[in-house]
Amino acid sequence: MKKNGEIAIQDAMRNTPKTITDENIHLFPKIIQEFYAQRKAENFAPILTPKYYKTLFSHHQEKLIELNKTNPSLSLNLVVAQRIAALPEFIPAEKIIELTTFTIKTWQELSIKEAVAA
Amino acid sequence: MIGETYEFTDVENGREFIFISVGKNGKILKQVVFEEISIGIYNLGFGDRIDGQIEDSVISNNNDLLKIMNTVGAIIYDFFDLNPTCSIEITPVDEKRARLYHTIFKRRIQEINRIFVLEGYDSSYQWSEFKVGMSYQRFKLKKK
Repeated sequence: MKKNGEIAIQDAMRNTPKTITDENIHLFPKIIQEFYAQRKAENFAPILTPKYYKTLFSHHQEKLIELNKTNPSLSLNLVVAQRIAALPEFIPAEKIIELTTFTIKTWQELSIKEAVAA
Repeated sequence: MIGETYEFTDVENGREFIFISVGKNGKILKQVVFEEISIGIYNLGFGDRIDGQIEDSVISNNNDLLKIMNTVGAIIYDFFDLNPTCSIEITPVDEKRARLYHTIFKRRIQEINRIFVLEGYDSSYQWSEFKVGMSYQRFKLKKK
């Protein structure tokens, strides 16, 4: 019976369009119709998982290291302005605050390392 | 050659895809999302859709890992067809995934290299071309 269910769902998916729209959603299995209704209710807002933020912070750190190598004397306010301006617009306020704090802390640490090395 | 995949569907302009895994634990809705981290750079998010969220650390154990990874690979191809100048970053959510991604890239590196540039970010905070045997914290994929 399970095998039949598997074949049924695969067949159902095989015959559906490659893109979901309001007009064709009725052609999809119920599980996808429910998912689509939920995403539509969320206005297809970006899905920001903990892993997304982990990548975002790693990327941010990477860019700060690059910036410190190329322009170590850049003032802290310009560093913060530059990095925060590069963030996607959908980042929520509390994460912008966290990233600002992270930027300041990381830049200060990098500046200390640079001063010690010099 | 990607191999056997599930049929998948684009939900939102080439940035969000879904498919249904079918296996010993039944039907599981899988979601793949590409969320921007900076202009032209996207994070690859992937997991089970549970209670309205992507659960990216869950182990669904549906006995179809290869088919799932093939499907994610096919979705990545579609993403690049729609967004050819963008790059994607892949960050393993845990050690188990890190080993899995290293293994997949090791096995598929020749196929990947034909179309993409695969880089790894190592512990010395440097991006470099992916090399078998090296350990990376994150991966970056872009079209050649």
